[in-house]
Amino acid sequence: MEDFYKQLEYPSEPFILSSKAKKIKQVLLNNGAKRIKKNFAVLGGSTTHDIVKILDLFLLFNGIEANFYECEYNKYYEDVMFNDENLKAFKPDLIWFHTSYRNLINVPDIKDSVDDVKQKLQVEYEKFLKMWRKSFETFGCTVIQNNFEQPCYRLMGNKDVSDCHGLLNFISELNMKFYNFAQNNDNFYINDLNFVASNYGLEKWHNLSAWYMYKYCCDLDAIPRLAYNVNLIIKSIYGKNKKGFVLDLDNTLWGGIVGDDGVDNLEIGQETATSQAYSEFQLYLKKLKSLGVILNINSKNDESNAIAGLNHPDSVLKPDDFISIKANWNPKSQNMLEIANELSLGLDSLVFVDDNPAEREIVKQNIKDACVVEISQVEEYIKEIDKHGYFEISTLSKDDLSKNDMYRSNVERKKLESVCENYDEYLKSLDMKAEIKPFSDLYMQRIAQLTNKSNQFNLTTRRYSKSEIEQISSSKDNICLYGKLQDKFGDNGVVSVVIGKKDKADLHIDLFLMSCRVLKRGMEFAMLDELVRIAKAQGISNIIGYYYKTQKNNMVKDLFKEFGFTLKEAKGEDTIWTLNIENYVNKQSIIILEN
Amino acid sequence: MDETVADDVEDWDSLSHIILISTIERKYNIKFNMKEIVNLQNVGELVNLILEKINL
Repeated sequence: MEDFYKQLEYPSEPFILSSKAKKIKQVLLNNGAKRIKKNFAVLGGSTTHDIVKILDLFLLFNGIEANFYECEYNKYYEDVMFNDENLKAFKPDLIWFHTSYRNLINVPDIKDSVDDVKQKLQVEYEKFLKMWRKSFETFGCTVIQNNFEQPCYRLMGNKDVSDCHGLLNFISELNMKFYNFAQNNDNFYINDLNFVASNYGLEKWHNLSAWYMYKYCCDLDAIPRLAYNVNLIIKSIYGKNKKGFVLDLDNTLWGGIVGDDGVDNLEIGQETATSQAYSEFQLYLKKLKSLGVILNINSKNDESNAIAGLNHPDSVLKPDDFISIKANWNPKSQNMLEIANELSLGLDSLVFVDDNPAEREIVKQNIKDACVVEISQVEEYIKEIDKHGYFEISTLSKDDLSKNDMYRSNVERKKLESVCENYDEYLKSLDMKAEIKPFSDLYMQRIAQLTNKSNQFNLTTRRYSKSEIEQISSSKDNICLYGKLQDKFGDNGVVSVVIGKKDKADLHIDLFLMSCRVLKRGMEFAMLDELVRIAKAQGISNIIGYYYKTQKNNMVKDLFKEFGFTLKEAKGEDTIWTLNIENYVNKQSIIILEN
Repeated sequence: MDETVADDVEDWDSLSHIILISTIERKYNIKFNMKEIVNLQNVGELVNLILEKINL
């Protein structure tokens, strides 16, 4: 059983997962990890049974416990359009339409005119469009739709891809229409079946006996890769992405050992095959950084040598590209802990990259949740890392793009903190300004993202999809506030969310969360002050607060006490608190409210 | 038993079938084609087919 964890990180040996699925599921279910529960409907145009079995394992591994609904074989359209009572009762959080080119009916014929083909394209597209719209309207759920893979034959040979009568051409046109829809609709994601099939190898992918005998659209050994790929989208939607890298330097970012060989002799740049490979790897990391991935260094080196290496004229990555640089002779596991601390990130959200298997082992053994990627030779690094989909993008928010700046400002703030004599003086020196307002359209995406990503400063750990957030905020029974915070080092964006449900003179706090990037800044008090002000104006006299204990939210177990609430009830470690707000006095004055 | 068929086994499903076939293929380093698989009637025939393949 010991080898299956590696397969859950990436299914390189498909047989291990499919033959031991039941056992692995039991182990994962009993591993004591905190999981979110979701309902997923898998509506397939080909057999989905084993795909679901394997997908279940990947999701459990990522902390998502799924309850699955599968349609009858090839009844994906009928199920969503006509059998909606069953689906409605199931309450899907997400529907995955697992279709393949086998499900195309109106395909071009050589006798068709250009207009005929266009017509057929429209008919096929509208069938899918109807299903997606119905899914949004009736079930209010997220939709994942496969694109179409390339078929196993080309009637016209090379012409098939460019001529409108070619099936290949038809498929690319239809795929483009799908992508267009994806670009214009939230809560809709393309599962890139075409990539999975090509990457696996089309010739092997189209194992036709699996189609004829079992009605699988792919080779049975490709099932784990397919399930893995769709799992990436799902875990990303529910905020389970990694946040950044912790990278070694010598023989990881450049060839050679800077302390022994000297900066001038490092292999980086365009001179040799090896140096080109290192340069391209650095470029790959730099591009990920521009998508919001945080880069850090964890290297056994004197700091001056490490910096000198990064200042090599051909080094794509410069010292400025990293948030935290640990170059010393401490155990790498200790450096990992310090980096996670500095960035206020969980250890499970950092990916450790080191060419030395011994260092990888030290980190693995000393840090339970560490994510350690196996790499071999520099020419393989990009592929070996990329295939894991650690940073799968579901939605690209502005916040993600400026994430590096935010983490950098945090480190600068920490420096300032150590210069200031007392903490209030430090807070005042930050010139903080907040905007605390009812939810608005502009921020729905970010608000939903926060409810799925925040684990530590989160009192109830309720997760919401964007559409749920929109529903809640449109109801007059709720008070919904987001908080933005900026200071002299930069704009932190939306960092806090509160949802309160009104019940006569009571307000129940369903959600109170804050991003850890603004811990200890008084923002939670600013949120409470504003919540109380608005609640009073709406005739509320009592606020009821709830704390539900999870593995990660210990830091807020006494928050309501700090807020001046009285303990009303305790069930185990879960607690309920109340506060009469009639004589409430504002708790914070340093942050200036700019609404 | 040579006469055992799929229906005799509780919880037998297509996945069990697929795993059985691919386990045998791996174990004996042999490959079945589609015709051979679909014509199998019971365990005895499967055993005979394996013997036939490894004696080749």
